Parts: sequence; C-alpha cells; structure tokens
Amino acid sequence: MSWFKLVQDARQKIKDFLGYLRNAQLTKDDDSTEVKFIACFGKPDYPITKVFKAKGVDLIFSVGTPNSTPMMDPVTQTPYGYEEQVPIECVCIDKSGITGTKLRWKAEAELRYVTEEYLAGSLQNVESMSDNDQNLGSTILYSAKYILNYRRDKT
Amino acid sequence: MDPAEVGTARVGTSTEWFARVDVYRDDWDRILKVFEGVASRDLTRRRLSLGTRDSTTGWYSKSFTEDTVEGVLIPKASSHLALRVGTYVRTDALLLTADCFEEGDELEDAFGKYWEVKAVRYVSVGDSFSHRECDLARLPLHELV
Repeated sequence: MSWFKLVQDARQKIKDFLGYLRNAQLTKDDDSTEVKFIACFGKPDYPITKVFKAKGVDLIFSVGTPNSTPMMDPVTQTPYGYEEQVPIECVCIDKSGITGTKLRWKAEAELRYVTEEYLAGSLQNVESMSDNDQNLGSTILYSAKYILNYRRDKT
Repeated sequence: MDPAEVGTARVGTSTEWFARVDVYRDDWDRILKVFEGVASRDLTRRRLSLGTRDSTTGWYSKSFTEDTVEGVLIPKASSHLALRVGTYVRTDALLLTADCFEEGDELEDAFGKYWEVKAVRYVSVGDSFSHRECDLARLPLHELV
C-alpha cells in the first residue's frame, strides 16, 4: 500500500476502505440479526434523525474532512507530501432490539478489525480512538471517534 | 385541528356501545383570529424526504413535497402586540401552526423567502394539543439552488 493519489478525495478513499466492514459482526442485541449500516461523508445537509427514522438506518460510519500538514524537503523547502489525519465516527442510538452502547462497541471492534487486517504494513495507521457520546436530552447519540493517520503524495 | 378526547360515555344501559366524547379546542382558532387581516397566513410547506444514496459521498438525495398550510410567522425582534408573554423567538423566526412540521422541512412565506425548520415544540393546554411552535432559520441563498 503506497501513498494516496492526490486527485482522490481522502474521504472517498476511507469510505471505500470501510467496505471491508463485515455486516455479520454488526448485529442487534440478539447477536444474530444484522443491523442496517451505512458509510458516508460527514456533515450532510439533513438531520440525522431522518436517517435513523425515515431510512431505517441503525448505524452510521461518518468520514470527516482530514487535517493536512505538508512535509517539507529540508533542502529545497518544498513539500514532498502531506501528512493527514482523517476522523471516522461511528454513531448509533437506542432502538427496538438495539441497545446503542452495545452496538457502538461492536462497531468499534469491527473498525479495529478492519484497520488491523487491511492496514498492516502500509503507511496508514490508527492514531487514536475516543469516546464521543452526545446527550441530546431524550436521546443519546452513542458515538466513538477514530483518527486515521496516513500520508498523501504531492500533486 | 385534532379533536381532544375528553372521555367515553355509555350509550343507554348497553354494555357494548360506548361513545367517545371529543371536544375541539379553539385555542388555535383564537391565535389565528389575532392575526386576521394583519398578515398572510397561507404558507408553502416543503416536506423533506430522503431518496437514494450518492455513490461517492454516501449522502441521501433530498426531495421536497410542497403543499399549502396555515400558520403565523413571527420574525425575531418583532414587536407585534400579538407576541404575548411566553412566546419567545429563539432563532431567525418562530412559526405557530397546527399543521405537521418536522426538523429539516422548509417553508416559503408569502414574500418568497425560504426558511428551514430547526426544532419543533408541541404546545398543549392540559392534555390537549393546541398548536406547534417551530424554530426557523432563514435560507438567504435558497433562490440560487
């Protein structure tokens, strides 16, 4: 695995990478019924409630915009690449047959599996994982945030 | 407007026939009457629904279904005498309506301006529904979309 091609949106690259997630491991409380999950870019222009209710989605993997730092050649003082950190969030709520905090754990475990299985030996690595639960009053958004670190080639 | 159920009453001495006793609350009609002749009450509701997903972004496509509803739009900082104590405009405007709105829906007012519904609260009198209060955010660039 080498550096990303510049023309490809980092979010798209990571979203395609999340295609390795195994639905069989993302199940409801009965540990057998598969949940409906999606992977998408972060911050869409519609309420998340519509996704959970109207579209019947149980789990969302959201890929955010990466932070980017140029890596400078010390002699020529020009960038030879970019170091980027892209946030990946998994979000779910309590539903009939689903305990949000349990599904969140399964999502975290599956994210770890995918990064361990498919990133080994490459220039990408998981930098950190943190709790991101949000209490909206009557509903809690159970969420965990991963930071994926990688390097991008120059244009 | 939804009728409010008061209770049930037995019909005669029957053990099988019951009548449900409803009463229409006229609170919403009273609110509308205050604004009668002052402002247009016909608004265009645009109900948001999500369609298919984009293959690149993974986002759902948005579509809106339009119809006409009745409501009263109160802009922020307005000093209308009908703005009674307890009605507080939190965002760009407040919508009072008995019709159904959800977060994400849009609204076109009589002047062709567009608003987005940010939050919906239900106002009840006792256990009877009266009307909804919707926090609206102005969409100033909507005409360009």
